[in-house]
Amino acid sequence: MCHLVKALNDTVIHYKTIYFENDFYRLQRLLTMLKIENTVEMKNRTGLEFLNNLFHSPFKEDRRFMLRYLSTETRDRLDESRHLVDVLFFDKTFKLMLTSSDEQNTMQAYDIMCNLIMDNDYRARIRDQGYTRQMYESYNLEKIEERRLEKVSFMTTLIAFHSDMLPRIVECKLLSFIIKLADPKYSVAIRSNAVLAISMLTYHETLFHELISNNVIDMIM
Amino acid sequence: MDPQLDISIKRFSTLALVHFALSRESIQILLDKGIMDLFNALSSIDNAQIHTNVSWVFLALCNNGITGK
Repeated sequence: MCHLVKALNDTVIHYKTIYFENDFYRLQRLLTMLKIENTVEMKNRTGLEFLNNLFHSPFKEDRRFMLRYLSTETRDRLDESRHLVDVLFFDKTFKLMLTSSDEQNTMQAYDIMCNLIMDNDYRARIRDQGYTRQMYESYNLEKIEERRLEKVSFMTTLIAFHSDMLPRIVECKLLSFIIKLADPKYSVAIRSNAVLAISMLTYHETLFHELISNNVIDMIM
Repeated sequence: MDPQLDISIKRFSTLALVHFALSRESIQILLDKGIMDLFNALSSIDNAQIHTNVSWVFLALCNNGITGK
């Protein structure tokens, strides 16, 4: 009897381990739940509820899956995943992106942010509702890790690429932030993103004199 | 250091120089900073995008009546 109980316990632990370490089961469960629902509204509600539960799960792998899933959705099917982004990104993931010490989750959150910046509606929301300001106020270049800074530099390049972000670029003093990123003490990838961002900003008449007065030409040459 | 990454800095830097060269206001600054010397320095790098950017800078200078030393 004792051996039987032990064998059963081991089996349960074995399958639990497989479940909690394998995203396949989470995705399978989500897809099965979505398949059962008949209407788009119900599918959206069920999917959102499932992912929301994963975000609040005590198991870190659950949250990791949720972020990875949202990152893929925003990259490949942004129009179909707007209901997820509205609730899961702006209410939850954005704070996680700025405060979490979990590198993998933060990287996924930045990927989602970059995908949203490429969308006109979300970019307007990021610009107009103070998200850009919150982001750049939270960065301390002395303390931020190299990998995170590389993502930030990439995101900054995307922001610089869009001319409708110019008011925030000026307001958040993004040019001086970018110039700091071009410092030789940072990795080539970060500096490369910074130089590309500068080349994008040279298009804007309003920033031209600031670029000249900051000796950007000297720095580039 | 990955040489490709180093090249990418040069690619984007020359792109920025193109943008500056397209503005009349900054052409004199580029000349003062020695843009002419940069043509020789960059010619040894085997990268089509850098060569294209340098050509654009050269064209912008020519359009403004600056053809060389």
